[in-house]
Amino acid sequence: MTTTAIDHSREKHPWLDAVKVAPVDAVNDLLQGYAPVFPYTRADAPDAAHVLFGSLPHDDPSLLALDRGIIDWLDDQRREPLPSDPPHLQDRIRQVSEAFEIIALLNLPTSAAKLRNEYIRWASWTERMVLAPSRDAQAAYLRMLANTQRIATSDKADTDSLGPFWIRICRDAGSKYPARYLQIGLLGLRRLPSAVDNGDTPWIAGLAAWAKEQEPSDKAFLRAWRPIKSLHPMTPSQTAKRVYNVLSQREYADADITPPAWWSNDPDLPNTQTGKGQRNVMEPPPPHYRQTLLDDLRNGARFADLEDRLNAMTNMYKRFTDVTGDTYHLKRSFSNVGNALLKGATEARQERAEFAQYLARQTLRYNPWHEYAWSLWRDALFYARSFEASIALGWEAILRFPNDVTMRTELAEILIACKRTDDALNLMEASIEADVSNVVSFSILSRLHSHTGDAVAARDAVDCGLDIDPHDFGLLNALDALNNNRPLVLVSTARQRVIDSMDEPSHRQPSEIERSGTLRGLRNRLAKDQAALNELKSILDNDPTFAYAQLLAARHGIWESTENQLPLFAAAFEEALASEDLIRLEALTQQQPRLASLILLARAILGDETAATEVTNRLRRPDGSEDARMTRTLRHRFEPVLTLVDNGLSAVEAIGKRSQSLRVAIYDTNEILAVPELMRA
Amino acid sequence: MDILSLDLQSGLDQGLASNNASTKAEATNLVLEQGVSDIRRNFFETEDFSEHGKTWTMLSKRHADYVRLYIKTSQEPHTFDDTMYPNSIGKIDTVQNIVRLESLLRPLESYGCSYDELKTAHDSDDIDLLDDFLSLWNEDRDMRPAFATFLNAVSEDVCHDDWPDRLRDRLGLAHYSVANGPEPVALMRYSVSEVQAEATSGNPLTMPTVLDSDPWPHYFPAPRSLQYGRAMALTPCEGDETLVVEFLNAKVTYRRENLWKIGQIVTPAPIHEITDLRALHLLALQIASGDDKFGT
Repeated sequence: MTTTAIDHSREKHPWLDAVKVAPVDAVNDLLQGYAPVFPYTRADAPDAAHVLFGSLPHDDPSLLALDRGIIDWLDDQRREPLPSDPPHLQDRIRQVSEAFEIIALLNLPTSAAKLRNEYIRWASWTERMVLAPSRDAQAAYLRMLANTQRIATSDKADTDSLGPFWIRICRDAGSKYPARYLQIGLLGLRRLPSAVDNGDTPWIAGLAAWAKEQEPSDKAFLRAWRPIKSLHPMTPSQTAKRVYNVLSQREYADADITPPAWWSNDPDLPNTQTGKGQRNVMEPPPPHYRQTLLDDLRNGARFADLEDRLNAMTNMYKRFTDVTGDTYHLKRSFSNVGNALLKGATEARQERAEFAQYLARQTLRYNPWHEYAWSLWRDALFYARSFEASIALGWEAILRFPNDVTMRTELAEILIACKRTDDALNLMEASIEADVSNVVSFSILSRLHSHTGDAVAARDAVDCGLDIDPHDFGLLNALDALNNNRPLVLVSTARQRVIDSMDEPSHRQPSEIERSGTLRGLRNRLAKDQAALNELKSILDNDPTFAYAQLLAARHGIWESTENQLPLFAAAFEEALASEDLIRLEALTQQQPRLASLILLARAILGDETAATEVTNRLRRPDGSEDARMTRTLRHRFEPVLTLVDNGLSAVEAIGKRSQSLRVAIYDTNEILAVPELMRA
Repeated sequence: MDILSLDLQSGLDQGLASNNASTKAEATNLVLEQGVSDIRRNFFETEDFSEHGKTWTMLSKRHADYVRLYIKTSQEPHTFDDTMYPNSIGKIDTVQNIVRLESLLRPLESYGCSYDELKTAHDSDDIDLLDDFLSLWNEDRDMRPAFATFLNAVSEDVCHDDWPDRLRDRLGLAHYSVANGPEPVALMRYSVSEVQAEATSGNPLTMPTVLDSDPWPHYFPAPRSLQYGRAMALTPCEGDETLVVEFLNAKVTYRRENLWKIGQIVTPAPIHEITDLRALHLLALQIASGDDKFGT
C-alpha cells in the first residue's frame, strides 16, 4: 500500500483553467461550494480564493479572469430579486459579502474600481442586505472600499477622495449606521493612502466627529480610542498635538468643545492646555496661494499654465481638512477658485469646467449642504455642455434649498438657454407663488412672457418687479423696450456665450444625475399619466435596484416589498404612507430615529393627533432636534400650518387643511434623503 | 445513512462507482453515516431547497446547498436544532477544556491589523486591542457548528513550538495551506460549560455527521458507538490510539481568555493518496469500536 506524500503546494490548481474559460460560472461555483478545488473545498470561498490566487502575478490570466468574473457575477446578483425565505436570503447575503471580501483580499483592481465608481448603485443595493452582523453585505461592501482605496482609482482620480466619506461614517455610527460601523469608518481613515504615505492621522478627526455626534461615555470613548492608539503608536506629545489640531478648529470651538475634550481621560496624554499664541496647531494653507491663483485667473492666464498650482492648492486644502476636520477654508477657496475658472473663460473651457466640477464635488464630500458648491457644480456642468446633467442637478439643488431664490433663477436661466422655456415659466411662476422670488425672478418672467408674445403679461411682470425695487436697471430697461414694442432678449448673455461656443455637447452614458433627472421630469406626471407610469415601470424593469425609481414606484403603488425582502428605507416609507399604514410608520421610526420628524409628519397627515401636536412643536423649535437638517427643510413648507394653528385651529385640523402640499413636502424630503450620496459620488 | 429517494440513490450509486477517489470517498461517507436522524435525513431528501436529480453531481450539489442554507447559517443550524434530533454526545464533564484551531486571515483583514500586531498585543496582554478585535470577530462569525477537540487529546502537540502545523495535520485540516505564505491561526480554548451557557438548544455539543459539513473526502464518519467523531489526520494513521476525538460545538462568544495561543502554519499540508489515508483510518475505527463490520 503506497503512502507517498505529494507536495502540490507550488503548482497551479487545475481549476484555475476553468476560471479563464467561464469566469462568471467559476465564481458562482466557488461561492456556492461547487467548485472542484480540492483540497480547499471545505474552506469558505474567500479563504479558498486567497490560497488559489494569492500568489499569482497581477497579470496572470486566471487572476484577470477572476477579476472580470466576480464583478460580472455581482452585477447579475444586483439584478436578481432578493429571496424571500430566510435560509436563502441569508445565504445570498453571505455570498455577496464573500465576493466583496475576495476583491479586497486579492486586491482585484477592475472590480474594486467599478464598485467605487458606481458607488450609488452598489451602496443602495447593499443597504438592503443587512440581516444580522454576520450577514451584512453593506458592511462587507464598505470594508472592501476601505481596503482597496489605493488600487480602486483611475489615473486622474484622487486616492484620498473617500476621506470625508469615512468621517461621515464615523460620525453617524450609532445613528444612521449601526454602532459597529465606527470600526469601518476608522478603518477607511487608517487606510487612506495619504495617511499611510505621509503619516497623517485622520482617524483622530474621525473619532472626534463620532464623539461630538454620538456623545459616548468616557469609557466608551476610551474603548474606541485605545486600540487605535496601540495600532498607531505615537509619543504622548505627538498625540496631544494632533488632538489639539483637530479640536482647535472652528467646528469644535463653535460647539464649546475645549481640547483635549474626550481625550482628557487618557492618562498618557500630557496634562497641558494650549493657550493663545502657541503655535502647536496646524495652520490652514497660506491665503496668498489662493489669492495669486485667483488674480491670475482673472487676468486671463492659460489653464495649462495654472493646472499644477491648482492641483497643489487642492491637495493642500484637502490635507488640512482631512487632518483637522475643519472645512471652512476648503469650502471658501474651492468655491472662489471654481467660479473664477468659469467666468469669462475663453480657452480650455472643457478642462476648466471639469476642474470646477471637481472642486464642487470635493466640497460636497466634506459638506453636502454647501449651497455655493451646488451652484458651482450646476454651472460647471452647463459650461461643460452637459446640459441635461446641469438641469437635473439644478432641480436637486432646489429640493435641498427650497428657500434659495438664486437657485431658482439660475436654473430658469439654464432652462431658457436650453430652449426649455415652458419649464422655466412654470418654475418662475411657482417660485413667485411660493414667495421665493425677487426682482430677478420678475425680470426672467417678463422675458419669458415677451418670448411667447404676451406683452401684457410681460408688462405685468416688470411692474411687479419694479414694485419691489423701482430703480432696478434691468427692469427699467425692459420697461423701456416694452413701451417701444421691442421684444425682450430671452437668453442671458453669459449663457448664450456657452451655447455659441464651438464645442459639441458631450455624448456619453447618462450619469446617475441624469437618470434621476429623467425621473424627476416624470414625477409630476405619474399621478395622472399612464404613459409616465409605463415609462417608470420600464426603467425599473431595466434596473430593479434603481433606488429613486423604486421609491416613485412605491409611491404610486406599482412596487411592493415582501416581508422578508429588505427594502430601501425610503421606499418602505413611501409604501407605508401610500397604504396609510400607521403601524408600519411607527416601526420605521425605530429603524431610523434621525428621520423622526418626517415620519411624524406622515403620521400627522394620516390623522394621528398626537403626532400632529408633536410635529407642530418640533417644527417651531430652533434646531436642537436630532434631525436638524430635515426639520430645516420642512419648516419652510410648514409655516402655513403654524399660521393656522396660531389662528385657533388644532394641530391635526391645520395639517388636514394643508395635507396636499405637506404631502408634496414629504415626498421632496424623502427623495432628498433617499439618495444622500447621489451628489457626492 | 439509508437514502430512500430513488433519484438520490441513483446519484449515490454513481458516486460509489466513480473512479475518482475523492468522489468515491464523499459518496461512501453518505453510506457509512449512522448519526443523521430520520427526520433530518427526510428533510435532506425531500425538502424543496435545491434541485433533485439522479446524478452524483446533482446529489453533491444538493449536499453543498443544504450545508450553505442550514448549517453555515446565521440562524440556528440543523446540527443543534432540537426538532432535528441532533446527534447528541450524551453526558459530558462540563469543566473539560475544548480547543479549536481558527484561521485569522479574514478576521485580521476585517479588523485592519497584521499578524505581528495582533501577536504583539496578545503577548503584551493589550486588553483594549484584544477586546476590540474579538468584538468585531464575534460579530462577523455566524452560527455554524465548530469542529473542536478536547485539550487533553492534543495536549502534547500544543506544547511544541510548531503546534499550528501539528494540529493542522492531526485534525485533518487539509485546507489550511501555505501556498500564499504562512497561515495565521489562533488556538481557542474554552470549557464545555461555556458552550452550554450560551446554548439556545438542548444539544449544543454533538457528534459530527456527514451533513454537518460540505462533501469532503477528509471527513470520515465514526460509528455511533464511539460517542465522538474521530478526525482523519493528514498523515497515515498509525493505530487507533492516535485517533483524535472530534465533535461539534455551538457558537461561543470569544473572550480574551479564550484566545489562548496565536501562531502561524508555515509548512505545506502533507498530501497522501486519499484512498490510503481512508483505508488506514477505517481500520483504526474498527479496532477502536470493536466493530470489524463497520465500513464493509
